[in-house]
Amino acid sequence: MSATSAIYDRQIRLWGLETQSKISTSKVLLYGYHSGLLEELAKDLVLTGIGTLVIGEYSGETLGKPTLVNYLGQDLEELVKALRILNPNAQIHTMNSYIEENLPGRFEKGNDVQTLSRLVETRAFGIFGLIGEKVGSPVGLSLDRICRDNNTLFAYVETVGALGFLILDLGSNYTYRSMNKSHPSSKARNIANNKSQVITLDDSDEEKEQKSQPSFVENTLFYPTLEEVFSSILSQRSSQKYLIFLTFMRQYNEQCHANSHPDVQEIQKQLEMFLQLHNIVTRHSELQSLYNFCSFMNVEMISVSSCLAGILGREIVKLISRNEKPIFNTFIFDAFACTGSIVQVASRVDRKRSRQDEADSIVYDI
Amino acid sequence: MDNECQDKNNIYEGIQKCFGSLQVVETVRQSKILLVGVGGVGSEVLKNLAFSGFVNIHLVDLDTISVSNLNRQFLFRSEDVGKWKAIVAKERIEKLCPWSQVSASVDNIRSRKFPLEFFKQFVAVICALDNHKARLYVNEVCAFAQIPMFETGSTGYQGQVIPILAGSTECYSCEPKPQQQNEQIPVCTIRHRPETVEHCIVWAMYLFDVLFGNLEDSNPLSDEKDYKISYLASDSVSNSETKKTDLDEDWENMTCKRIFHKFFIEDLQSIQELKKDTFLSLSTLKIPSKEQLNNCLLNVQQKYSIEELKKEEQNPHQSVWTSEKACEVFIFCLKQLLRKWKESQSILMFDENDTISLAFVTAASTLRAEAFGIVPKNSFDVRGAAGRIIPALSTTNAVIGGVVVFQLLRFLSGSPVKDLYNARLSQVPRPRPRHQDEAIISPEVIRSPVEECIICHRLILVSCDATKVTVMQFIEDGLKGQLKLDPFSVATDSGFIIYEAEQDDQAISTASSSKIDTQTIAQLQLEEQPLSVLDDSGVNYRAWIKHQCDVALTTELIFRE
Repeated sequence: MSATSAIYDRQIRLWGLETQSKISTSKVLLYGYHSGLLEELAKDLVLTGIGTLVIGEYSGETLGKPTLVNYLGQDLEELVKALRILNPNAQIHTMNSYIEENLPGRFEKGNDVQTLSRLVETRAFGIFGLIGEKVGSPVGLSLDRICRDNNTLFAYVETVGALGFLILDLGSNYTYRSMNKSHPSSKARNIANNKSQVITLDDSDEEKEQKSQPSFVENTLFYPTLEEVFSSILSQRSSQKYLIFLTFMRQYNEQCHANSHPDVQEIQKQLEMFLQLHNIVTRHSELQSLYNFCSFMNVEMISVSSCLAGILGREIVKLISRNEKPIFNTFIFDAFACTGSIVQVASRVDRKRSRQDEADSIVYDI
Repeated sequence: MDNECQDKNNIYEGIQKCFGSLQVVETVRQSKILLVGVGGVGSEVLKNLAFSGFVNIHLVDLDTISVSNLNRQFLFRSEDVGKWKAIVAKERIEKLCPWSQVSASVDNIRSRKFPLEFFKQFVAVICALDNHKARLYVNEVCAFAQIPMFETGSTGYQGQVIPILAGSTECYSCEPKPQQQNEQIPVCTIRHRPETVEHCIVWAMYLFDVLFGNLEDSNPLSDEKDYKISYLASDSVSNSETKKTDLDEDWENMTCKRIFHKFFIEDLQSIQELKKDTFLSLSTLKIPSKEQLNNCLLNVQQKYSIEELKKEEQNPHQSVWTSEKACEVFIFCLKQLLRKWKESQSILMFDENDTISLAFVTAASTLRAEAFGIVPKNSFDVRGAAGRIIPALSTTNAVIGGVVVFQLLRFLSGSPVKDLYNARLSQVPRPRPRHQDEAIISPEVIRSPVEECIICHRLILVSCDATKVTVMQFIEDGLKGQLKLDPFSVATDSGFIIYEAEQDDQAISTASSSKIDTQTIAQLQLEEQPLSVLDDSGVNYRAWIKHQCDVALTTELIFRE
């Protein structure tokens, strides 16, 4: 422990030993394109001291695969090797080698989703990250469903040129603790400490004991599913241009059958049809941005991936420690605008419920 | 080889599509970038530069790799600990990115080895430093060189990116930054009435320097030089020369006793006396007793070990030491330090990474805090405070490294620096005005230079052959003749005054000043560093003498309105 404490000193000072030890026993499964985004995220998690990391990628020839910028390894085996050097204490495997070593015999050959589904069903992984939707045959929605059914926290990340997207589905009952700032007894304590007033407290001895312990509140969040997120983007009038573009891109990629990348004009034409079909009215400036976004299709920028992975990496630490409110539920990064914002995309019922439950949740004083 | 080409093409395809032009790709390929600092943010920046298609990158870093870097600086591994960051980073990135051409200097960026011409070869400078002084310097040189600088910083969950082009945007010295903590605490607070545990920790570090270190005049305890160990030792040696080992132990015990008695009993008693005279402070100090001290002197050797103390210092949840334990640990560490001093016969420097030094300061600060009724800190927290340790995360650095490189690309694609953004990464989402969402990465419009900023308004660039031009010529022909200034004084930042206007009534031209006048710029090594020029009218300027062989002396104001 001594040697690792020295390595993690600078972050233990931030989140404490307890979180660090939770990180060291956490298990994360990443799956998707072997992109710069995947490598960045894996690198950040491994440096942070994650316990087990299993990495899988889309199998077979993937049609219309985006232009990716990976640098740690040409293939997953190389990547895993490079990651192990970064942290010799972490358990890092490719999905195939993990299955062979840990679950022999239990896996027949199946398609990607079937294999993943069995892996998630073992409930060995607390967190699942989908790195880029599969072009040609999307898997995001079904993987999200499988994760939800198996109490696995689900994150979907995607970069498109200068844009980055992160959508979290942490299930219908995600709980986390937060510091209670307006707790009545902590207020009384402050006054008592200031000695400006004499206060008689019934349980003054207990109060004294708790002096150094801050009080926490248990909070609950109700996340919409990935499916609900996407259907609400199209049904809401005020959806942001970014989300409209993401939905369009997903649909465009789903229908993509061509092997070669089409030119921008063709994509823009498709976008126009998409907007008409879904009755989406945009302001002129927004439409202009959407046209610009079309040229981002299918390319990756390492600087954008670095950013987005950094944001997801820090969310994953939150999911492990459960001491902070995670992104609820969508994060959008625009590198040109230099903006990373959080929006709440959800069906109305879910949103209402979550707000109410947040307010009504029971207070625990620890 | 095929793979390599593929990677490169993928990178340039991304830039071409995002920025909509082939020209940008060519610019990126040709541009030389200077990266100052290859630490947490620097490692990320370097990787992002290389895999955004930059080929020519120069690294400057004077630091070596330490264990606590490994949680975020992914180019370094445990076997690299102790090696130069710049060198290892260069090797690693060239392996990952074989087509890149990275060069590295292990040097302080403030070194005169980097003349203005050096900076001018770069299209932009990315500043990934960890200290204020070096940042100010890079900011100033970039202003003299008139090249954009991208200033970055990260602390814990927070970070920022600030693009700067002096004269056109707010620069790093436009807003005064707070000085370092220690210098702000008044001497009497440290000596007589500490109010916070930080004051006690600072006092304990000064005590360490009094006993073992370089006793500087700025040390508030500098009048206690009688207690320097070298002094105490010479005192005892001259007394007798009997059996050596016995003597060593006796000397150790006696010295420990003297030091403890002086700093934790006698001094506190006299502060107590002082306090009695004032009406305000009625609380009495908790002063350790002589019995306590004598008890401690026995058996501390068996009770503590360096391994135990080391384990403790890495545990943030360890409880604060009782005054009894602090007393024992203090004696234990003092003895260890005395032995170390005897062996090396040279001064010891406080190092928060050295377990004994840290335990010494923790114990001393605990005793002092206890005496003044202040809640002490455990050795984990003392280490953070004494070493001014700033928490750091790989994820924050990844975000900052990504944002800064993309901004650089925007600049190279034709956006003027003032049209970029100051970017801020925050821990808690901040509501955005005129938007319905919250932001964790927020853009801020870059402001214009502050009116009073010297760097943004009053820079004097001097070009001359430094081996031929004398100080006199620089002042008379350059400043007075060409710029029509009336200089009152000219000095280097290290305090070397090269010119002072003569007072009317006492026209004393000392021998030394006339000697300076006739010497060349190069003889006095004044070229290629910033100089302070104070005009007779009270206006401050900064000047830089650029050396060029065989050119006539020219002097210009860089930002002439």
